Amino acid sequence: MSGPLTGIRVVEIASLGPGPFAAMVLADLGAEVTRVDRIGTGDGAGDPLLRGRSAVVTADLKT
Amino acid sequence: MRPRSLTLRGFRSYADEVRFDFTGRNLVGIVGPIGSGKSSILDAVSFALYGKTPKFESETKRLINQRRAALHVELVFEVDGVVWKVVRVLRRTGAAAHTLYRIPEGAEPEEVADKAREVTERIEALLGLEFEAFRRSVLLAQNQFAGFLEAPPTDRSRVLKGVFGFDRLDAMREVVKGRLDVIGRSLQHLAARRASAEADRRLLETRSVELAAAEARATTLDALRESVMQADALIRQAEGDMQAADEELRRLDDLGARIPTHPDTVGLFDAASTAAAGVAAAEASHQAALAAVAKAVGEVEEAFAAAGGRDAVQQAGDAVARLEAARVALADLTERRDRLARDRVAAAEGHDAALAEVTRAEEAASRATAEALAAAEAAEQARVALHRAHEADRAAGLRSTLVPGEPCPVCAQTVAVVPPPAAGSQVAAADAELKRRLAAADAPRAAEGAAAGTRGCAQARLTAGAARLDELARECAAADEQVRAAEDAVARLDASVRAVLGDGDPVEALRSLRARVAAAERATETARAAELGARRTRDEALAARDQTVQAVQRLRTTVATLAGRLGVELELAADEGDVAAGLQTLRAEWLQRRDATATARQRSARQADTGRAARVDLLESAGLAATDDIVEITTEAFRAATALGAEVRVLERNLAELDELAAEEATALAGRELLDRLHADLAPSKFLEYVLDERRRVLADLAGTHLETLTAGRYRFSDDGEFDVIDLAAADLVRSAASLSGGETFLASLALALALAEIVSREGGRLDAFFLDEGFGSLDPEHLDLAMDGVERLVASGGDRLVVVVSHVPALRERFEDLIVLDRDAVTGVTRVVGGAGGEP
Repeated sequence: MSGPLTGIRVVEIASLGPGPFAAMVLADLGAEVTRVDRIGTGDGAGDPLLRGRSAVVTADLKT
Repeated sequence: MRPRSLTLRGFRSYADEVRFDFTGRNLVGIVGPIGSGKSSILDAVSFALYGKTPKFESETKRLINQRRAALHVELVFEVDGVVWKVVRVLRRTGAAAHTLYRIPEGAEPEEVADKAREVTERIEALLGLEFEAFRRSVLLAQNQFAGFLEAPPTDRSRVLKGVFGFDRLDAMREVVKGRLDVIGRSLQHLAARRASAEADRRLLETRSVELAAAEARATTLDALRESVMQADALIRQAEGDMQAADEELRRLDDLGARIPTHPDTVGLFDAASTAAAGVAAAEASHQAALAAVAKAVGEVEEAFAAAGGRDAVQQAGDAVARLEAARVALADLTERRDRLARDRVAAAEGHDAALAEVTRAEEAASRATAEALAAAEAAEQARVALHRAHEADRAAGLRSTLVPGEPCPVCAQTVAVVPPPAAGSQVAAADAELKRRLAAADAPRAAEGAAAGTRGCAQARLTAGAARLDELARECAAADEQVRAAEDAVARLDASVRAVLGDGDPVEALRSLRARVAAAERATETARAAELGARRTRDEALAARDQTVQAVQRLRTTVATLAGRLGVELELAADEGDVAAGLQTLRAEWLQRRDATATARQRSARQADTGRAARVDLLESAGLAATDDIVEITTEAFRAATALGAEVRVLERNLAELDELAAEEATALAGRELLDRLHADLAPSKFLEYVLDERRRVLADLAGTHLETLTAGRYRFSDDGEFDVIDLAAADLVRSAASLSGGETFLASLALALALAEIVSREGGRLDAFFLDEGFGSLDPEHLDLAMDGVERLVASGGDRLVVVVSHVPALRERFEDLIVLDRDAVTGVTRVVGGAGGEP
């Protein structure tokens, strides 16, 4: 996928609606998105809407 | 009881109604062959009085005649001067009727009873006899006594026991023994109960303490169960919420996988706008091609219009063709006319020649005729000359006889001159001359015939030539007419062609016009082919646009469906811009929903954990593990308490009952004492032997008196009760009863039967009638008389007593003052009353 943001890397540390939406729009425009999940919240499978176009990392940000 | 009349209908072999009248009669015989219904009369009396017969005590419906649906029996009888009537009716189906009437003297019968049982009881009271006693006395059992007399002494005791009804004592003793056994068993049971009572009392104390503890535990557990169940409800609620959230997450993920992504859709939207532009361009080229086609078509029309229109050109073309044809026809006609004219000239010449030939032939014919006439004339002259020569010759022969002036001897004519002398050469010359002349006439005659033939031929040719000449003249005239008509036609067509194509060569003008039209049409074809190409291009562009539109439409449907499933309200037009915006909204909404659901799931999971911890605390407080089923444990505790309670109540009741049982035991003991005594009293004893012996003596005494009467003072029974016979006529010789003759045995047994009947009667019965059924069959005539003498003495000895004798022995008829003779219909088996006291009512 190429677009205006091709080559730019975005790290998503968000959980409420607007955050993931912004990440999705950026990915649609070509950015490479890496999502950081809290432990025990997600399934680590990535966002279904991006179909594998984002990487997922799980981290405990409280420690 | 003395019968007065008996009426039967539908009873056994009596299909139709029969009435027997016994009024004022003392000895009645009923005779008839076997099966004719003799015994049925006795059965009918029994049935009228007791509603049953010795043979049919319960299945009385079998007494109904097979050919009838009901039986009807009516008996009028007298007891102590009062007249009664009993009527009994039985039906195969339906209710029976039983009625007893009292008939006061000279008055109407009055109904006394109308129920089976009531009627029978009333009659039993009137007669003083129950059915059994009636059977044993009224229907005299002399046959039984005949066997009795011939039996050994030990058997006699048994028979007598039966006759006097003593066998009932033995039956009663059996009953008493049975009751004693029952009481004995119940006393044994009571003793066992008393022995176990002390143990019960100790057990009751223990169980009462246990019951109190069990009830307390059950109450505690029940309270705990309430709390645990509340905690369970909370946990279930939280777990249910979690499950619902998981379900929702799965649904959302499933939906999310279906929502099209940006890369999926971006190509589609680009293609849509490209296709729209392509359609506009193709549409424009197609319009231009259409205009070119219209222009070419206009040119074709213009070419036609110059020659006066499409139809005029067509007509001119036709006219040119017709003109050409007319010209050819005219040339043909002219040539034919010329040929005819030439033929006509030739024919005229031929005619002239023929005319000349006829003239010549006629001249030749005239000449030939004249020559022939001349030749014929010359021949005639020669013939005349020959004739004369001959005459002259013959006259010369007569010359010697002829004298002038003298008559001719031949012709008597006067002879004028004497003929010259004969010259023979003259006749021959004349003959030769004739022959020559005749030969000369043949040629002119032949020539005349030929000339006539030639003239005929020439005239025929002349006639034919004249006819041909006339025909040709007519044909020439007609051909002239045709040529003129063709010339007119050519002139007309030429004028009409010129009107369209102008002056000059019409064929040439036509060709040039057609060439112009063909050129214009070719131009039209080319324009049309160009238009077809443009249209195809446009259609392809439209198809391409339709595909993208459909794809956008599908995407719109997908977005709308997913929005519906997600519960988002989207207003989507078909426009792809709208669809793209809707898709973006759908994505944003999905992300928001998923986050909210994940958060809710976490909250529910925390609640469930809290609930489980609280449940464990509660169970531990009662010393139970988390896995124990508190409901089952509580139920079990209640069940244990209930079981203990039931056991305690049973024990208490048993102890209370013990007092009541003591009273029951005392009653049983008293009863046993009484029954023991009764049992001992009923045992075979000297007393019973004594009573039986006494009865036997009374019977022997009474029977002896009767036997003396029946045998006219010859025999009586011994007093010792052994039923030996004392022969009074033989110095009181004692004989065994077995040594009596047949008739004597009959009388002895009749005496015994009468005695028994009397004993029964003394005990309250009222018997003024006896029925002797058979017993005569085995007797020889002498003994029959002896027996009948006895019977007659019996009748004579009593007051108003009825004796009915039933027998199939015909010899007995003589001995009866009143006789009922029966017969049996061989086919139907129905009884007919042949004569005697009976008869149709």
